[in-house]
Amino acid sequence: MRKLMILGIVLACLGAVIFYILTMPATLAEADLPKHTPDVANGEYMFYASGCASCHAKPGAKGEEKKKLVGGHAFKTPFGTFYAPNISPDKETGIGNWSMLDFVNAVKLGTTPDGSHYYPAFPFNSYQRMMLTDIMDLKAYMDTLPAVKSDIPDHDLGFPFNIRRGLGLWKLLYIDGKTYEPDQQAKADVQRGGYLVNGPGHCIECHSPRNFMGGIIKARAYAGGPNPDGKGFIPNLTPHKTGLGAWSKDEIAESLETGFTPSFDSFGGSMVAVQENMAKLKAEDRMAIAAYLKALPPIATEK
Amino acid sequence: MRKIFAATAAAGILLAGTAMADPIAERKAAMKSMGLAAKTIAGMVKGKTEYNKATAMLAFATINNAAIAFPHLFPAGTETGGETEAAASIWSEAAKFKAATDAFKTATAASYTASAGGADALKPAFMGVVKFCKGCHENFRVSK
Repeated sequence: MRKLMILGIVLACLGAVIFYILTMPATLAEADLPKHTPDVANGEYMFYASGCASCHAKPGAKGEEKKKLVGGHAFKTPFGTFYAPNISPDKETGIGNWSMLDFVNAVKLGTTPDGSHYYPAFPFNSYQRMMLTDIMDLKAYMDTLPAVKSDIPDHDLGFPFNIRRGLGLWKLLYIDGKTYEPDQQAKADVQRGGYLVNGPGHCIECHSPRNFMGGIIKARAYAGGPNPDGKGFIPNLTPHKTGLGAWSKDEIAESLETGFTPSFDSFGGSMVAVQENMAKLKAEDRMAIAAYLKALPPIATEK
Repeated sequence: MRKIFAATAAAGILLAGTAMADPIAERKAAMKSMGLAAKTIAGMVKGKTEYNKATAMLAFATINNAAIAFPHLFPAGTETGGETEAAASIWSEAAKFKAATDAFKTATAASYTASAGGADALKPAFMGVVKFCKGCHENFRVSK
């Protein structure tokens, strides 16, 4: 009996050690950053391509107010409620004290400056596909935005999702930190569109169904899925007839510019903020996004 | 004579009844008519079709008509069902919704009048109306 108890304790300790090792937050080191003088203008472009303000500005903010990244947007998910944090350059309540490396580790690997995990409500699952230089430029631009104070509530999550350490296991499955690698056989516009869609654009996060762990079901990527943050269904973006099959490339690009579908319905919900960002991109980039979406394998919608 | 009167009255009641029997289907139809009208105007704005005063005014009148009907098409009890995409905020933020529909009504009436002013007047009239689509759909429609 005593032997059994000892064995039990040893196994539990071993399990804890294995859990500890498996769930260690990954980080890059200073030496991993390329020698790069940040380009603020490209950072601003990435700011719109990545849609930072859509979640981190005050809910309902328009125009210049969108540059005040005070946080506070509540995401009601099956795991609980997440509150977007302050990512303005405020030193106390924002990210004003972050180094370039802190920022890169957060965006690319979902690791906090004090070595903990972010929840994937922050779409580092997509941002990990961004080029390091683009992330560095983004930080340089965000440093120029107004510093604003705010008091944001903690995430309100049930067990076991409230244990951040456990996210390490989730990350083993979904986060490898690899920058997007386009299909080299594809045309240049499809490659560029693939980068924008899979990296900064993080379109996959809402336009795909998720499994019980909140991971994206890869086989059904971009085929639409239940709204991860509330009611409704997010449309299928693949060129299937239940998706964007009937839309031409021009129509997709135009809808991203104007917010209207070919039948003159208008975008709604969270896509309005996304579209307003997409409208700020170059016309050729909207066309590249359209080209990439039209090149996806067609998958039927499953509601 | 009495019979005819009774029959007419019954038909009238029946019509009135069906008119509001399915507000969800009605608001969908109203939305669709606005979409078709907007598409017609957009064609002229973009120069795909030539400006035609009667067509332009008809299209704006369609939108204005839908705008007038709109505040009445979301009665209590139609929050769900019929694959409605109406968001709960229509009822929980009723004052905000009313303000939005009132502003839409005013703007569509003004654009209807302006659309008679020739091809150059069409674009500003159009922009004055379409900015409302996204504004309302952002706050009052669920994702689909």
